[in-house]
Amino acid sequence: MLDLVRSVPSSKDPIDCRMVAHDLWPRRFLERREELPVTMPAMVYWPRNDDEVAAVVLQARVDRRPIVPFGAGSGVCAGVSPGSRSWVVDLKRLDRIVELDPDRRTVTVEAGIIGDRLEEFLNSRGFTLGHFPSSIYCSTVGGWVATRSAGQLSSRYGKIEDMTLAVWGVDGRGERIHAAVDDMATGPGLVQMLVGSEGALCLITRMKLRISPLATHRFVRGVSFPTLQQGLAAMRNVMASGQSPSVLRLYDPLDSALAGNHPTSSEPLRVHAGGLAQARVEDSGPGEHDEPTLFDSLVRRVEELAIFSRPRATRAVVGELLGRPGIANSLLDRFDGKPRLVVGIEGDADDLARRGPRLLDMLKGQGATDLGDGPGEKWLRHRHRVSYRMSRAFAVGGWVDTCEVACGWDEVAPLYTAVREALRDTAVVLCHFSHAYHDGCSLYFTFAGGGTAGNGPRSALSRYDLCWERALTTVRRHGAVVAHHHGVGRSKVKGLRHSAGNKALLQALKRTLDPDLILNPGVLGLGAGAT
Amino acid sequence: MPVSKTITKSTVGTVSKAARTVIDVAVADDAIMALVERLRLSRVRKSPLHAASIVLTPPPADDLRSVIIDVDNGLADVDARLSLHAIGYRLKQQGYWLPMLRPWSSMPLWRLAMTAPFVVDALIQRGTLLSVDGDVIDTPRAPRHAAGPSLLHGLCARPSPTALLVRAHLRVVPRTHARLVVTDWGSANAAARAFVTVTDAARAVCVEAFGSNLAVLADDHGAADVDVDVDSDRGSAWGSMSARVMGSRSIGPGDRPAIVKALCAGQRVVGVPFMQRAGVLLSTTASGASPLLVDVSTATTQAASAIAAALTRPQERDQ
Repeated sequence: MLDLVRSVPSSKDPIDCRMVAHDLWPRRFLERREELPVTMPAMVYWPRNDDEVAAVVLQARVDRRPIVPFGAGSGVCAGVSPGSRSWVVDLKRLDRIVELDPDRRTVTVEAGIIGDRLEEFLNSRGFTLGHFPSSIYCSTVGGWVATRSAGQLSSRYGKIEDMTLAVWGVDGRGERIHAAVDDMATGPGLVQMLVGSEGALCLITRMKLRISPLATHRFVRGVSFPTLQQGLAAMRNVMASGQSPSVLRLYDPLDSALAGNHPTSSEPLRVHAGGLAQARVEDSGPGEHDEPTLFDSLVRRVEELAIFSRPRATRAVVGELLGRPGIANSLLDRFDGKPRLVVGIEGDADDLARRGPRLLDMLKGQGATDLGDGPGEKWLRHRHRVSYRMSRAFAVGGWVDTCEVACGWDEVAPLYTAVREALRDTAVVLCHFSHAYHDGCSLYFTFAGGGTAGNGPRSALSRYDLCWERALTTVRRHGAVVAHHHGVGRSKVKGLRHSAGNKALLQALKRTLDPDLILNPGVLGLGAGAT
Repeated sequence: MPVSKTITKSTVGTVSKAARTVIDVAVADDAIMALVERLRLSRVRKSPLHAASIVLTPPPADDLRSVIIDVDNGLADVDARLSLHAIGYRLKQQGYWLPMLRPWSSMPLWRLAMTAPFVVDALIQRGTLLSVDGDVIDTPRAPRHAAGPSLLHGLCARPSPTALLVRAHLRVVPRTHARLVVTDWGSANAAARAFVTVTDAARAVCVEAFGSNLAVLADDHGAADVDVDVDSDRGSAWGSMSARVMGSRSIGPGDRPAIVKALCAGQRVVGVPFMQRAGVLLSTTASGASPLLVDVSTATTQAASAIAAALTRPQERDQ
């Protein structure tokens, strides 16, 4: 076994270890800004197959070393946070597309493949996974499954958990494990016990996923509503009516206001060739409607006031405002944006020609004003920007983070109001409502704040922590779940609502599959401090 | 205001790890309380129960608490002692559809949840479960499973359920939003192809195939060759089917070969396209479908070991 471990590509080089020392949890960037030390793992391994993964795990058991799985590092919840004795297992060399089965509409892939590569492969053969997280260029398929990821077209294609038909992995005993939905012997429910396990129960090495044929045409439209409640009611009715939109995203009044005005439209509906999966993406230049543009949008609005002649001064002022969220929120209350909804559906041309007008009429019946194709097409072009560019707020002493939660339709508006109120003196809060389902949707909050240097009560770090504590407390109080598609990691453990029985089962499963508690200790609140 | 009933040691007369456990009164009627007591005794005597040995009398037909519609969220909060058959009819009376066609299973939902993972996957949004200790476990309320491993699946699923489902929130659809269309496609192969097409569109409330027939419950504009109202489907393929649904085997919703195989074997294939789920209904008890209930707080290791054993059983190295 030792020989096999030695043959696994690995490195102790500080640069290699630094690359996998943490994910994109924004708090880590605040820590770097404060020049706090980075905890580096002892070693990083790049196994090339399941045998090598198992060998590394077995050796780690012998050495009693924690193991932290690593995909592309795009997580934002501290799912990757190795200690100084930890070994990081970077799974990106497990990147094969094992099998495409068009008859059964499945693809089997290894965990380390980057999402965009898989989608390109499928597109070239007339299929799509239908999973488009904004991080698609910088996240792995294994990471998606481990965190219950959701893509932008989830209302039609479902979350990754809905696509996962089988999972292979290596558990903390070094054993190969496997679960499949169609396998009566293993108990089909076990797939859903491994999906979302975030490396705490096993290292996921391979999965079989459901695929769909590429849509031939699309239709997107933007509409605005007089009130947020009307917009939410319209979303719920669209989902209940069986329209099955691929995209349904409602932006709250502040987000809509910051994105700027769109004129009303009477232009006829246009059906575009190609499904949403194939729509062109532009990833340079400022976009609208996306979460990280909060800072840019604020800067743009201040620039429009023409008080400061130099951009740098404008950015500094906005940074200063973020440090005084009470004042910032009072000013922002003056924006009177109308909640904007982007809706997109896919199908063949005839089908869309029938469904499009019906859908638009239905929305108008709920009080919507037609804004034409513009908002939807613009969102489509910039839909993947979010994950590559760090907000410029960090450069001026501020911070930005996102929090995605989920609840039933009846709780959406109260939860939205409660979170905004709870954070009013801590951060500027935007929200959009996406990933709409029959029985509820996800609320995607964007927090932006600031603070002083250091770690005093007014520091950026303290305010950041306070913001999260208040948000999680509020979400929990409303009975919502604290993670819809980013995972729980370590940063949201406090918000998990485990009843005694649930926790007992998870802990028992952890102890059985990972008796030495070496697998990603701390995530999901499991095995922390054991090693 | 919800009324709660407190179960304490004095109420049930056996040991409890928790000093007090509060159960909503809708759950805690006498039959459930008796079950709690029986489960606790079973734990004390170290004699785990087989699910098949448990008989729970369904609530009376006029018990309004047994099916409560949550209009806002498209859910029905149901007593899991009812069968899908009883639930389906009560929903119909209130103007709602289950995303599954008749004949519905006459098995109680709490048992069906152990043997039919398709039901857990597609129909149940969340559950209130009773652990073998008598503790009440609510699975998270979320439109999908959301954070972490799915506890609903872990608690219900074979090989060893750790809790009994006592209430469930089922996904339901207003009858005004859906109508049923039945089409005879002439062959199982053609029906399977149509099943996959409907599933791909992800719009229908449910789609079912039996023999060469396909039934689609969809919004008013679903394409159809033959239009049949659900109330007049006696004499159709569905009318001839048995309600003896004892379990299910999940399949990929686009797995045409598996669908054809099931249809040729005389089985009924069901799908809920808006949930991206499909399964084959089984009229016999699958192996392990009469599971041993294991104790949550003191013997979860047993449950976990069973799960681990299932996960690590020899598998085909075909990948």
